[in-house]
Amino acid sequence: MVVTTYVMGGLITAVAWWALVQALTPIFRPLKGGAFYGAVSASVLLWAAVMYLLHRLPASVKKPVVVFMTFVAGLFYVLEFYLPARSGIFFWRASHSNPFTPVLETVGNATLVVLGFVLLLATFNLGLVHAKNIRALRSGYYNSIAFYLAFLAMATFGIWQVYAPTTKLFASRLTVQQVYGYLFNSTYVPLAATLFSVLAFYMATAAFRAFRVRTAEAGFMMAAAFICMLGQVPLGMWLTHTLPLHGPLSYLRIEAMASWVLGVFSMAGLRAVTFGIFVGALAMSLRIWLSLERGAFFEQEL
Amino acid sequence: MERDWQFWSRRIIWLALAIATAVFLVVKIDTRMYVSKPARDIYDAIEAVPDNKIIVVTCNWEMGTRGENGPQTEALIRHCFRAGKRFAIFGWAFPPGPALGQQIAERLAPTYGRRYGRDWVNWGFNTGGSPMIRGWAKDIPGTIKQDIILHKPITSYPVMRGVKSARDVGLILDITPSDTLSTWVQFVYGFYRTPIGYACTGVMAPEAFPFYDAHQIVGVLKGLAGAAEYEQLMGYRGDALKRMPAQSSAHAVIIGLIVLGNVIYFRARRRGEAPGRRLSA
Repeated sequence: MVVTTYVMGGLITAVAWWALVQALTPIFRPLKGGAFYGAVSASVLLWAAVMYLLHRLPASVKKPVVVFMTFVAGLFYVLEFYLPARSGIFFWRASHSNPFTPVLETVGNATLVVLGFVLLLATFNLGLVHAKNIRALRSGYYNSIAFYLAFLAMATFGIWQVYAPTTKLFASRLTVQQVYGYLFNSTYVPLAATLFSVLAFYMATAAFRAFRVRTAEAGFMMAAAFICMLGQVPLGMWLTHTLPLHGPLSYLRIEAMASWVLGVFSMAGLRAVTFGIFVGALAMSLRIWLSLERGAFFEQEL
Repeated sequence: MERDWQFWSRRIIWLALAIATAVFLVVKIDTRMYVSKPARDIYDAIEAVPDNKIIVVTCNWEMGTRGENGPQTEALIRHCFRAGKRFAIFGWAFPPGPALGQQIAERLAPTYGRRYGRDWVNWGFNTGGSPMIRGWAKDIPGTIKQDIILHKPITSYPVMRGVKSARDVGLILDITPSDTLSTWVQFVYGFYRTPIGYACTGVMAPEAFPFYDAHQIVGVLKGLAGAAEYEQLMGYRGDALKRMPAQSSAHAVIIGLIVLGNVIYFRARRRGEAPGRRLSA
């Protein structure tokens, strides 16, 4: 029964998608001047109205709407990808080409718009969390003040330097672009590099504390790790540099052994792991697409 | 006593690693690398790009991995400049990537007499991940409207002549610490057979080999060692070759620590102490 419902629903939605694509294609032609701003304003008003209506709907109606929209959005990519690029089944098109492909970019742009909203929401959330920290003077609230200062400085000069890079600041010789360059090169760059570099120190202590040869498998792992670590650096290459570059003995050179471990042992394992991951991802995607997924987020009251 | 040991052991390790790295960044040692086939294959792929096609240098990295991805980007851009191959800097995983690539290109351009707009262009950072890449592959000027340096339509630059889709791209060089390769392979190599070269951080290298073995990518630069190999191929001594002694000593220290940790572990076990007690965090 469930399968029949999905098959029927899929067929109906596929036809609806096709009709929608045909109807909406003219909308995505580039507009200029007043028409462009008019269209943007109308879109914003329409979006606000739709959002308001969705918000007013009872939870029992919201959930099917979300399920339906998820299914429709996923179905577009399924149809575009799995249907052939050219086939007789598209008999109504002169070129017999897949009717979904021409609007792929448009749907991609729509996805970008949704991603834009996500980014805005995330920024808003981050700001809210730090604002609460400052207002309640929680421990470490000064870090939240630092966040606001850094965020505002980078955002202000980052946007400003795009539109007016040569503007002079406070009657000085400094331009907006120079200030942004200073913030980027002298603040952001060293901070980000330092943060990542600290990992090396933690890796060293972790290796000392945790890498124990308790089993034969751990012994193999350690041997492989040593070969790969030494095979990547001149010190390791120097250890076996007296061995010939060609012939049977060349396989004993550390860099050759490292390449062999990476290209044979490691690759076989990775292929198996990757295969498993993607089979799992496929199952997970299907569950999300068909709204069968349960648990965190999926069963919350909307 | 136990807490003291834990406290000091951690700091001694950090100090040892810091000294081992810093000393060899200061002391100059002439190093030579064994050039692996995956690195040589990228070199050959750049040489083989025809004049009517562009190379896309994807700077999908940011400052955290500059130590590895920076010298890789420099080596690859230097090769494009030297061989007279036109290229576009692009990024879609980390926003600062294209700006960092631009800094490298601007620094190298005078050496080879190259000019922005004629020999290279910067498409900047684009959001959207896989859907964007699918659209990009189909219509490059439609997806990347303007460059980020002069903010002009990309089609107005001489470097972009004849570049419309992924079919006009001779090689994609993906420089990254992230899993961006599968997107390129799925949506660009899969549809257009555009060659892809992968320059990644050391830890990401094993994941690239199934693609390399299947000929879905033309070559791999493995971390800083890969950049050093490339510098040797190019015949210049850049940051990567200069940093290899420091990386050698850091690897030696870590190997020494693992061996030392195991010696302590086995001695403790022989004495009947709880295994790993002295070393546990």
